[in-house]
Amino acid sequence: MKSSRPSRPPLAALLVAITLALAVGPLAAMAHGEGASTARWQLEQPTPPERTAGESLTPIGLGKIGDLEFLAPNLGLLITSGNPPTIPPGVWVYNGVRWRELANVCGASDGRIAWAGPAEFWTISDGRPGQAASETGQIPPLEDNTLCHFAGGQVAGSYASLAFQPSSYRAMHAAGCLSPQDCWFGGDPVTHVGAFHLHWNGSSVIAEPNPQGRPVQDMRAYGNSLYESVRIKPPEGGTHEEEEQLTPPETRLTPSTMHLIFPEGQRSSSGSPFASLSPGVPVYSEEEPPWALEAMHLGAGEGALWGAANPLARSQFPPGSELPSGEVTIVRDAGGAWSQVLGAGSDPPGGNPFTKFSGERERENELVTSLAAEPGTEDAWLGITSPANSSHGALANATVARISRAGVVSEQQPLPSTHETEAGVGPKGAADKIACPAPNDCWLATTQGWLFHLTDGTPLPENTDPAFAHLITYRPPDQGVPQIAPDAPPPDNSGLLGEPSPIGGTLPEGPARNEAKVTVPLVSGIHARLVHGTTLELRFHLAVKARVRLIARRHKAIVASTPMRTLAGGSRRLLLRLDPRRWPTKLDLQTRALAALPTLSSREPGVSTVSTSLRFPTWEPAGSGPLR
Amino acid sequence: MRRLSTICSAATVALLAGAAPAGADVFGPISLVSTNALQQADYAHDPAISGDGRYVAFDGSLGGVTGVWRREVSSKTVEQVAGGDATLPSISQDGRYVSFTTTEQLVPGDGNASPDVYVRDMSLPAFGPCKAGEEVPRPCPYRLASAVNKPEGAPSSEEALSYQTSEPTRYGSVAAGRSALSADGRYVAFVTTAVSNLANPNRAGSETVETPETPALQVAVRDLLAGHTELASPLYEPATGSPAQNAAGLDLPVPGGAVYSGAAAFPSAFQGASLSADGSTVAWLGESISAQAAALPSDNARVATYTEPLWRRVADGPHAITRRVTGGSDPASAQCATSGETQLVQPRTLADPCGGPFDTKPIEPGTPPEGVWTLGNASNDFLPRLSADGSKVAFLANARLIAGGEEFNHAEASDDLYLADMRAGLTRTQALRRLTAIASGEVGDVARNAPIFDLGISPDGNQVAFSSRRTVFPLGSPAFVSVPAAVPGMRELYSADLANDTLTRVTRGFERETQASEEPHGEVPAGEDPYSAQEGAASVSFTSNGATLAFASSASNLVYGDGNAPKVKNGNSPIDGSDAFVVSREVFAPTPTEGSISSAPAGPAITPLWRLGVTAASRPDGSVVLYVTLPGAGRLQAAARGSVPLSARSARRSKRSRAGRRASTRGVTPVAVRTVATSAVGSSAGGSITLTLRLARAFTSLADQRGGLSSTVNLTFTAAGQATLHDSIPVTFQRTAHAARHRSRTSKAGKRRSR
Repeated sequence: MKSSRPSRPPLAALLVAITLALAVGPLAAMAHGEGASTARWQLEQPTPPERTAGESLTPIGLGKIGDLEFLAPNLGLLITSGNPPTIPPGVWVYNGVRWRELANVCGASDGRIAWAGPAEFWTISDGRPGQAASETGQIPPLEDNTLCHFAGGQVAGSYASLAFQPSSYRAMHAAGCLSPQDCWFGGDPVTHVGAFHLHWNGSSVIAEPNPQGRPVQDMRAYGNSLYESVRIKPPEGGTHEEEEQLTPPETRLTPSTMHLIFPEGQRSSSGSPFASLSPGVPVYSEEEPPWALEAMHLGAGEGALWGAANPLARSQFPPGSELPSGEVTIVRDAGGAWSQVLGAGSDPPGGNPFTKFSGERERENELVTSLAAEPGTEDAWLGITSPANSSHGALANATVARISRAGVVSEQQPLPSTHETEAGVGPKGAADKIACPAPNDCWLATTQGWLFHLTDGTPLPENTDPAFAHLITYRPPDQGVPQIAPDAPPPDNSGLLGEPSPIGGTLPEGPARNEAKVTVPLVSGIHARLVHGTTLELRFHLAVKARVRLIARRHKAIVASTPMRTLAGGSRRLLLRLDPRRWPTKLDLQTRALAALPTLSSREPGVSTVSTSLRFPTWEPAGSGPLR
Repeated sequence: MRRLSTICSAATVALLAGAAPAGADVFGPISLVSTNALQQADYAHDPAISGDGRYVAFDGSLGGVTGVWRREVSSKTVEQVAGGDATLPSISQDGRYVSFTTTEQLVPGDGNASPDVYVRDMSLPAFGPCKAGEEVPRPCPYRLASAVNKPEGAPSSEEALSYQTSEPTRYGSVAAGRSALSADGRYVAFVTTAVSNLANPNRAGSETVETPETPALQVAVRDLLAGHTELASPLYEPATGSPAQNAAGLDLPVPGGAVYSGAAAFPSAFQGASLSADGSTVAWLGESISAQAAALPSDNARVATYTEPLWRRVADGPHAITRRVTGGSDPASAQCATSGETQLVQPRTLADPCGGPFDTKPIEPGTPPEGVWTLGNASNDFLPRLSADGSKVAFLANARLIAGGEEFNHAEASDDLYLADMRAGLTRTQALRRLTAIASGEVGDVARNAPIFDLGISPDGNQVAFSSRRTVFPLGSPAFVSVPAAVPGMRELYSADLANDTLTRVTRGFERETQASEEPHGEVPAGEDPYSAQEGAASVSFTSNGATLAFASSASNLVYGDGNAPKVKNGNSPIDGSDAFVVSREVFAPTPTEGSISSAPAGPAITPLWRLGVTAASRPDGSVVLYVTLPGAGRLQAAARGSVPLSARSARRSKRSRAGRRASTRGVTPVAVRTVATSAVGSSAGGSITLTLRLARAFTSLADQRGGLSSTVNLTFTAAGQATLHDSIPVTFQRTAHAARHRSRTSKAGKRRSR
């Protein structure tokens, strides 16, 4: 790693030397040997969803994969921004055999996934377009600032907020759940408030900012708490405390790069659900201020929590400021005891295997893009790239490496593997997210949305949980945002997705009614009758205040009309005098709601859909009674 | 009867509906070809389709490896033609040969670092560059096209041209993409972009490497079979009207360069010269026009930087002249030669016998005229493209077309597409056909005046395809028949079908026919254009029958499964999401359709009218022929009654009558109405019959009198069970003199025979 690829990676060379010379960790070495002998990384890219059966499709990148999370080796999820128009933004599931599109809704530019239960998870997703621009013409932000709650094979809830409000949701970069009733989502700071957090308490999503106002970067459940990493901002002139809204016990010189979030029902001594991890993780060198490192990438295994931080790039420092000396730092917590695996004062013999070039070669320095603890071992897998490599985009190569608790890096290898490259497989982008659901079973997503799998070839049982068996295409209306009814009917895509015809078969079960939300119709309870022979009386119920006009047409010609009237919500009536010689054939009740229509859960009894179409009473010249 | 014809018409329409619309401008779904079974190409540009449609060659990156590739369309087999910086492929009819330009040294005779032109024989395996003195000699799949002529008897190995340039990796020889190789793979056209030894004035003809003396920007054609490289853009000798030659009979190069220098540096999308598929003709965008072809004494074309497409039929041998395809003047036309005109009429008019179709006056007063093409270093396709036999040339121009009247302001910022017929006998104005016309002079009105980016012409010259961001095409011929995009987006591919006189948009999204080309782009404020002029379709080529087109596009929605478009484009990176595609024209074969005519509808039978119809004609022999239409079977009787002079006895007998007495008292010849002829005929069916009436013997002589004998023929038709029909018609019994003499002779002869 002292020189950039494709020359022989010095990190690997160094580690081989270290391993041979010092024979560090016989257990770890044995584990490495076993892992290396049986498992290997391979490209395992799904093909795009078939539009027609038997369609021959070539695998393509799935787009920017924001997160890759596994509940079990045969149950994993990823969230993508999509590769349109073939791959829509959404969520994909791995069932032990293949990756498949799970939802074409709730995708995200850089989304996150938090497992809440065996068939329940949350995503940080992009918002829906449609909100109005600000007074200055600013487009409402949409990236990573809404939540989707998946449960029972559907999106059970969608949470968003009105833009440009003090309470507007910020972009969120971290998500984690301690139980189905206790999930947290962290993001950017809110001025004078603190770091933006949303909390799901089992019944509602509420904003609960952390007074320590540093942007949250990652979040992992470990033990019975959630750990979140935060980014420490370089000073820009003012006092650091003001800039970052720090509150005691944190100060500029004693920052905490990680925070704890207690489980539901527990609080810190100050009554806050948050607690700052004691300073000392990581350990900084004398030349290394805390802001010399980026926020930590976290990876949690059965018995350890790992964190890896890269030196902050020069571009993130104010121009002209002195660039502090930072190095790739990796820490590990096992049983509550933190240890510095790589970094100041803890580098293995030979020094930190991650290069520290300066000047023009600074872009060649390799950095950790993600980290995943490998279950069953004391090791973790790293995704590695350099700015120079990443700049090649689709033609960048991915690199993975294993690191032991002693800081020994091994099995560093480029992906696609040499074997695959010889077979004609080209570069698939730089390493991005990595996840390890089981020993010798890891997944790496590249920046271009390609998936590599570390596997020893052991087949996994196919997960047939019905909650992950069908494509989810419906995202319910956002709670917290007025719904805008579309002007046009949705596109008719029936049959395009290969679903069987309902004719002659069984209709697929729709979403469980107890979770769906329906919008109350504006007009309901319509009754029409003729009074005095030629005067039409129309009675109806308005859900909210609305502008209303009743028009009577004879074929296409308007033969009578009321003026446009503004009526408050409630039961209302309109009278319209008609000419028997120009008797109408059709009535048209034009309405426009002047307030947001309320929504009701379909679970609640008494909600029924009503028709707003009108049936015109037949005119009888004499003695006409109520006509309906 | 009318009802029956209506039924027949309906049946005919039904049959025609099944057969139409043969040859209509409908294109089938687009297929992605820059992909193999493993993965899609990282990017693909400059596709060229073989004449038989089996292969598509393109340059780009596949699996992270750059070069020129050949894809078999029916399978997902992709083979590398050449690696490294190889670019701009052209492909032969059967796909066996692929030409390209590269700085790689692929044969032992290529010792320079400059771009050179090669042809790969795909029937031979490639194991990297061919080397001399290999332990196991293998046939080299590469042939060097930009090679010097070897003297007679010299070893057959090819030796690259030598160049003199300060930037050897950018200047050397280049070949055009799509149109540099003949259909049989024998001939390759290329352009030298550096001073070379291609056609040194004093060619040594030895094995020693000559010092480069030939000016840069010359067109050459290499005959790979004969191992001969020929200068295709010779210097023009006005005195003889032929190419200038040295004492050894070799063509001389144009001193200042023959080819437009706009994009000479390698690699550039539009370089080289076009070669017709039959290898007979070469075309290029020329500079120094008057040094290559005839020009008027005071002609804008005498300005060295003035540009015009030039054309030369190299198959006609070394004395073949270079012809101007189009331009501001037409001195080669017969009417110009006879007019004695030396200077074009100003302001320009089509009546000028020496005038060309374009007004090539300077764009800015006081600046030199820039010719037909004035976009400078714009990346649009300035190469004229040839039909298979070289007789038709498609090209872009932005000079004002005189026949088009005044152009819009800022017209020079755009261009239009034209087709020229190079057959002899046509003036350049007569030979020209305009295929597009800008519709607005407003700056930024992309929909109406975006430039035409590049073009291709089908081998038969009946189709010209081009790419543009323009969405409005006002010409009625060819008529734009596609649904126009609501707003201009990426460059779309259009095809002008000159046989059907239609213009059709070829590219469309896979989701619906009217969908425009799209690719990922960042969010832009409403009203802002998310696309640039460099995004969209390009590089179109045709199969031999013109039914299939290959093209490149950076759009990501033409084919489901296209997934290599970057979300954020780096302007300098070739990774632009571009891919190679093919699309076929859908020809609707006549569908056998059962045709039947229904039986007559129920209703009352149609009965003909019960009446007579009659016309008559006098015959020279004194008889009258009646043409009678009978309503059915029956008997027809005809009796002609006329006024005849009475004889004395009859007159006496007649004096007792009133008429006789009146005639007698006035002293005139008494006449009486008599039946002068009768005839009858029976008919077994209705229809037309002919009946002849001859005068009774007593009245025969009356036919000889002046005016003949006027009579009225009364017709009576009787049929069983039917009403008796009557009709009458006036006739004249008159015998002509000739007939009378004939009758007299036959009468005497008859008498003699009777004697």
